[in-house]
Amino acid sequence: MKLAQTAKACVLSLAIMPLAGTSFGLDFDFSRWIVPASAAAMLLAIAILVGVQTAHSRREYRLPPATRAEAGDRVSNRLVVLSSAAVLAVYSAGYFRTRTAADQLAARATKQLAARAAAANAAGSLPAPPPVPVAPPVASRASQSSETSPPSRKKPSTSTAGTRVPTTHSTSAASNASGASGASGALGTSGTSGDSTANNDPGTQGQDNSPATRGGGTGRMRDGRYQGRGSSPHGDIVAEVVIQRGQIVYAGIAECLTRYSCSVIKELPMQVVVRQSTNVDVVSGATESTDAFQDGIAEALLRAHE
Amino acid sequence: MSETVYRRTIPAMGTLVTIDVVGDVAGDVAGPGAPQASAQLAAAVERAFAWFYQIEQCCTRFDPQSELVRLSAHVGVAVPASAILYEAVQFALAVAEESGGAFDPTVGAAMEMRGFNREYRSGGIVRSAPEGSGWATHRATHRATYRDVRLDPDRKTITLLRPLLLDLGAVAKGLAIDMAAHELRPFAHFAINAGGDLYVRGHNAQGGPWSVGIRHPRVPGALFDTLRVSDCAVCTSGDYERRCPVETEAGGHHILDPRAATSEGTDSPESPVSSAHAAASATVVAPTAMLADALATAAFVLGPDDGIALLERFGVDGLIISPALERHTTRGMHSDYEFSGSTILPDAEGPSSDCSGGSDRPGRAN
Repeated sequence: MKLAQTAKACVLSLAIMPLAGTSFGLDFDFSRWIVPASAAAMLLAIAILVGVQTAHSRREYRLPPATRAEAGDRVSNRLVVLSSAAVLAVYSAGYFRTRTAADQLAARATKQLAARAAAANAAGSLPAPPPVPVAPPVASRASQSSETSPPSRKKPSTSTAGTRVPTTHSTSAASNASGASGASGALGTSGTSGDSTANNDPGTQGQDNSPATRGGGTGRMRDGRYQGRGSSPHGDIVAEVVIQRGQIVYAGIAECLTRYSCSVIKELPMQVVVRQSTNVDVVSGATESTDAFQDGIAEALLRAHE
Repeated sequence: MSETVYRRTIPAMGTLVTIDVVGDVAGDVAGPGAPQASAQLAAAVERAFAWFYQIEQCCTRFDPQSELVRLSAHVGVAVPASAILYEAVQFALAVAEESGGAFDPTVGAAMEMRGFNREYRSGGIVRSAPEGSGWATHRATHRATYRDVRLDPDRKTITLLRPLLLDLGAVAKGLAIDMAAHELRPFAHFAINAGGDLYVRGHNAQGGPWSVGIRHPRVPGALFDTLRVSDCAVCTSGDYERRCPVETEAGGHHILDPRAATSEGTDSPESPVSSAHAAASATVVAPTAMLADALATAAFVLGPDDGIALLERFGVDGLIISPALERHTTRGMHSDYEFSGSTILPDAEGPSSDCSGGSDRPGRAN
């Protein structure tokens, strides 16, 4: 800035010099040579001024050094590369974390298919018995294809590890003839209507939700704490239940080994306790985690029946 | 003739996230055939949504148990970070450095003070300041800048040099969109819309480029401009979206000017950081949503002249609307928007990012 101000002062002083020479009426012929000389100096000063201001504006606004991408060119700068690399780094970290789980799931599925095929061959036309643990039926994903409902305002559970409710509560819920729908309303979720969750087992809505029908066993469950493991392509979920006097008084997620957070399914343990069933809602955006949790609960309940 | 669209919407990150997948594979989902293709699409969309939940849980400052908030409890200690948090912070710091502090992820405490502390699901007030951690010293907290965060790229640790709360709102959603786009890369035509921040690929149901509307900052429901784009992200920062709940200044909103806190004479405990008022909105078109989101915030803070210069410097396009509703654009941005460029990706695994302007065929406005 100082250079620019000096140039401005130079222009001004040179401009008034001829006037000053004329005004003072100097004896020598000063005005004859000072006018063209001052004009030349003015031009030089103006050129300096323009140059300085141009350089200053470049510094201030930091114009790009002509790196604008043309058609077909590749945009090359630090932030673009960094953001693309971040995506790959995050994806790779998640992939390596759950690759083992995905491989195990694929191997297990292959083994189950082979076992079913062998059983079918052995039994002729009779269907093969379901493998243990029993995989719960999954609601059709196509039925969720038009979900555009606003976000629900339900208050999230304060604990993601599990949910414990009074035994009396769960008992009354279990004895409720309308089981699933009644409990769903109490939780602030609306099942298949107007929410981002859908009941995962439409075939059992309004029917008997006793552990015997969904847990795969028969008779009364033994008191104690039981765990079961469910798998998804993104990793396993270890679910656990606590049985007291034949009722589920606690359900929770003992271990969340999925690539994604289990917080999105943190409402499900409450549903298990309230409904006394593995019949939980499908959580939009986490159906595979829902399935894994449901499988884990089903396996835990099977052990309670053993 | 319109193609079939498979659409799913979920609530996440304080907004609605919608994924549209266009094409035959989307039709297979609704139809009786090709169950394998439909399962693949549904699973890919599920995984795409899961990234929103995962990144939100890691980077939110509204959950005391989030990794970001727990990081704030350790000052002067190198804290090992997950890949999500490390990459998000690393990118945020890079943008802060490149923008000369116009974008600064350390404004979390100032945001909280100004009333942006309500968890969107529960509506409850969140106070992230740990007891006895020095957070009550607002002055010290607000003077923190991005230079007070250190990264160790070898050990993947983050060190906070002074008490501060990071706010990754302008980065995390963009990262989630990019991760979702990465999950959906087997599909040629899709759009991910997270509350107006988008990534679009291929064409829309009518076979033309995706049409993205830019909201008028002063007329609710009206569009200021429309872009027709494909294979790129479009993100907008505006002063109309979230007004400051605490009446500390007239017209306060959620985008703060972090430079105010570091300027001499403007730092006071009562009003350490003020909202940016140099622009009404800033829209950026970039190869990735994380870049578009962060640069939109930086350009908004810088205002039309410096903001456009910043966007030009990074070879991205943008439109900045001044408070007087004047239209300032980069050289590549025109009314019908023709733009072409690409980004460097190691291989085809990354999000596709060729941006190309398009025809006037009708599309989809957001």
